[in-house]
Amino acid sequence: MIIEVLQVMTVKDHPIPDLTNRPLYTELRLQENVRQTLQLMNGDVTSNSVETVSGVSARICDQGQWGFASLPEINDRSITQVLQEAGNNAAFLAHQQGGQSVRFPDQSFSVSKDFSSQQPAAPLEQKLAFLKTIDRYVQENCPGLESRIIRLHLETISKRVHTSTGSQGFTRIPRTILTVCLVTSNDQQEPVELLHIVSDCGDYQDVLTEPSSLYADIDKLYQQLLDKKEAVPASAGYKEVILDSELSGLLAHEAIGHPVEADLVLAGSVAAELQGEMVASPLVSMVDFAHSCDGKTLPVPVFIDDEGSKPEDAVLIDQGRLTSFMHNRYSAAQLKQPSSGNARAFKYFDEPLIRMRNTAILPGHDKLEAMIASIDDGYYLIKSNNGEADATAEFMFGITLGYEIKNGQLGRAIQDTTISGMAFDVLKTVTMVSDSLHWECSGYCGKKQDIPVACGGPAIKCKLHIGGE
Amino acid sequence: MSQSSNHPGFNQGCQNHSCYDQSCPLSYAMEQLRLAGFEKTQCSLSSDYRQELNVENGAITLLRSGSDRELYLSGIIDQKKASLSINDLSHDSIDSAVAELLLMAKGSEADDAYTIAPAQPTGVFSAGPQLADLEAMYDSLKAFLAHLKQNHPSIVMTECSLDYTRIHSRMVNSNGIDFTETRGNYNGSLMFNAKNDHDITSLNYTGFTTFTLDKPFHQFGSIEQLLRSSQAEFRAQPLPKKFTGDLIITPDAMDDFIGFLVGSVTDAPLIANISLYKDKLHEAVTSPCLTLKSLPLDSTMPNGYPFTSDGFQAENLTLLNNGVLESFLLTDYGARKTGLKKAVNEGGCMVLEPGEQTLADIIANTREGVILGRLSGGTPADKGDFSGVAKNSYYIKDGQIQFPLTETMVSGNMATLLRSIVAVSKDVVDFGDSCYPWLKATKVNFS
Repeated sequence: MIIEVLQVMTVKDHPIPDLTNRPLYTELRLQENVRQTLQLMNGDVTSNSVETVSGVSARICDQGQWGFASLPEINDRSITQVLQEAGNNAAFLAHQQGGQSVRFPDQSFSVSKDFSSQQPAAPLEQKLAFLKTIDRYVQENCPGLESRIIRLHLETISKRVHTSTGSQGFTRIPRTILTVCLVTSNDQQEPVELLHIVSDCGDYQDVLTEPSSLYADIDKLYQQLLDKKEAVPASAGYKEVILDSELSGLLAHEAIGHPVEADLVLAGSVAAELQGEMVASPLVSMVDFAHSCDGKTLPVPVFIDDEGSKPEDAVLIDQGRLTSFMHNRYSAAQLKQPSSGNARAFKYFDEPLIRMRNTAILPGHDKLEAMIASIDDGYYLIKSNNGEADATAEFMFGITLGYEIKNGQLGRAIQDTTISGMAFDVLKTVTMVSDSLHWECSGYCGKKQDIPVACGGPAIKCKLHIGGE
Repeated sequence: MSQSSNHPGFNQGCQNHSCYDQSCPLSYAMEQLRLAGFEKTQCSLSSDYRQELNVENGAITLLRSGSDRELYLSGIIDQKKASLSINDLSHDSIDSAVAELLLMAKGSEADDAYTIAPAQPTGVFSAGPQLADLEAMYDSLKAFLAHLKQNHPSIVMTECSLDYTRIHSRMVNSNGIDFTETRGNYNGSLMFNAKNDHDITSLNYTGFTTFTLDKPFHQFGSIEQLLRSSQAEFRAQPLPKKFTGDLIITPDAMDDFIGFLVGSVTDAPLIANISLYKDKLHEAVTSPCLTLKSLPLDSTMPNGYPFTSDGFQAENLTLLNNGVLESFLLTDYGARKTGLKKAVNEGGCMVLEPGEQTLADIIANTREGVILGRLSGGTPADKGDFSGVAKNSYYIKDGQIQFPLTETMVSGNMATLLRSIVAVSKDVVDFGDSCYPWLKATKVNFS
């Protein structure tokens, strides 16, 4: 017992048994998720917490039936136990309903990537001082606020994946998110709120260097809040709009990305019968990037997926044509298409599902100013608080910041509203695409389990339905 | 649910710090926090075990089992507070966590509102099955898939799962509270749509929680109703024109509306002073048709709870009584920050009392409106404005359901809508974790 305690090792170092001689397809995953939250609300520290979740899991396929098991300990005994229990679970289903042996491609792949900072870890005092400096700047420069919230969210996921096909990999990916929330009141004494979020791959000390680098963003946010205080309702109907990068990224993820996940394709999503068809304007190309673009690491890099597959970029739309889907090993085998390595699990006790990584519409050649100038009567939509898409490709996004466009000029801010449409119909109306690409990775995608994802996009000009009066 | 009071042992040991059980991680952690200098401490240790059968595209494909645990440590020193959770329960891990917690607390800011729950009688509670019946789970799901094949052949079951979850948790603090609970229940969830040769319908989803698998899967919650509804949605069409009319909210869509009110009376908006209801305690805030209760101690609530996460024995509460707001949902910290009264529970387990009319009568009395299956919309603004797409919904004209809807937007204000409720059905859906009737609101915009 004492020896075992002394041998407790990290996700990275713990010895793993050879899985390649196992008769059944087997995955083993060691994982640790660490999350820290610090929050100042009107200057008070209302959250100061750290959560560490670690453990080991195994997944085994027996006659086409899957068994999965997990335990919250990383040691030799728990590894043996989850392999045994996952096998028992698969055998239970195989006994109940039989099936056929599934042969997965014998792909093996190895990688090790650690994105930990090379700088010393920042102590809590330093992080709190950063937040207080931001808070002080808000207090001094944003008069008339009812409330202000500054929140720091740090999350690091360390994973070790081994498979019976010979794949093995270790990754450690930190993510830093800073949220500034300002709330004021309008003339009817009703609350009006806006958020600004900074998010990127990397530890705190690599992403947030100087508070002053955020001051221009806060000034802009405050001005937008003052505009929103005087906001008018949007005029409901089918309108010409410019979706800024945050919204085109959401469109890419929600409205196009989900319907082309191969598990949803197999379930009969609207995209199932559109492969090879023109589904968008030729100005639109869209990719789910594995880990990098133009030599730069993206916000949610995946260097080995949780089935031990090598992640490949999935080109979903190429100049308007629907080209490929996002796959795990099973769906790639079912549809006889190349695997893209999109199998991901959030915590050690979650099974891998087909999930997006860094999904973006690619930039074009237009300038935002020219796009605005080209609209006589429409809207420029900038910020969203959530989005949802359907198997039919109908989507909905909540809009928290937008402006009227009248005769090529920005007008009044509009009140919170919702936009909707059929994704492929909307993409066919795209007539301009801006030349800049903005990424963000502040949120989680929910599909049975949460998972961090990144969305990116340029501004696009299109037509869709907007709610309002 | 059973309860025994004055459970001996742990709390006395923690109070005099002379005899603690070193083999118990919770006891060890409390002692280390005391030795580190924390003046007030509260800790909990929870462990869960789950077995889950998963359906993908109409077939059972995965059996998942596993456990997780969490040791939650919270400490206050010089009125500075921090909290931390770990799932490695070794002494080394706890020692590191205590050291980190001390750094976190000392590096934080003092707040007079930080404290821990006062001493209360010790409680040991248990509810629900303590072991999974895997064969019964498998048989239930298998029979459901056969039912689908026979009765709903066009349904595509994209995701469906049935799990058994057992959670054992114990909470202690340096004032001597000591609560233990073991709770087991079954949970079903499903997401589906309908598909034929030419068309597909919108995704729909629902779920249920239960202590026993005592009836067929499709008879839990609203499952059978939604399956029938999905099959009828192939002929969906847009509204003929914009109109302002009645909105019949189904039980599956209820949380979007009730949730606005409930979310507005919790800590964050009340502390930030941005809640629409901040000055409305004991005033009418909704239609008098609405009486809403939170019943965590109800023996029929599989996801109830006997104590709150901040260490107080929970009680049932009435949130709305004939439209009058009877309580906020403030924690002890929220109450201290706002100067308002702490709630006797932390919400959930919601029951909206049924009314007098049948759903059929409510529809028959609707001149023009929409029966809303699901609202796909942005989070309402703090002031209550909302808009969203009506999913799995139907157009009503002259007292008759006309056709299912597509591309239809619903907009209004949550607070106004809740004041406009004119009818509550006597039909209800019991989801296990909540129980709701249908509501009819007026003067809602559809476009």
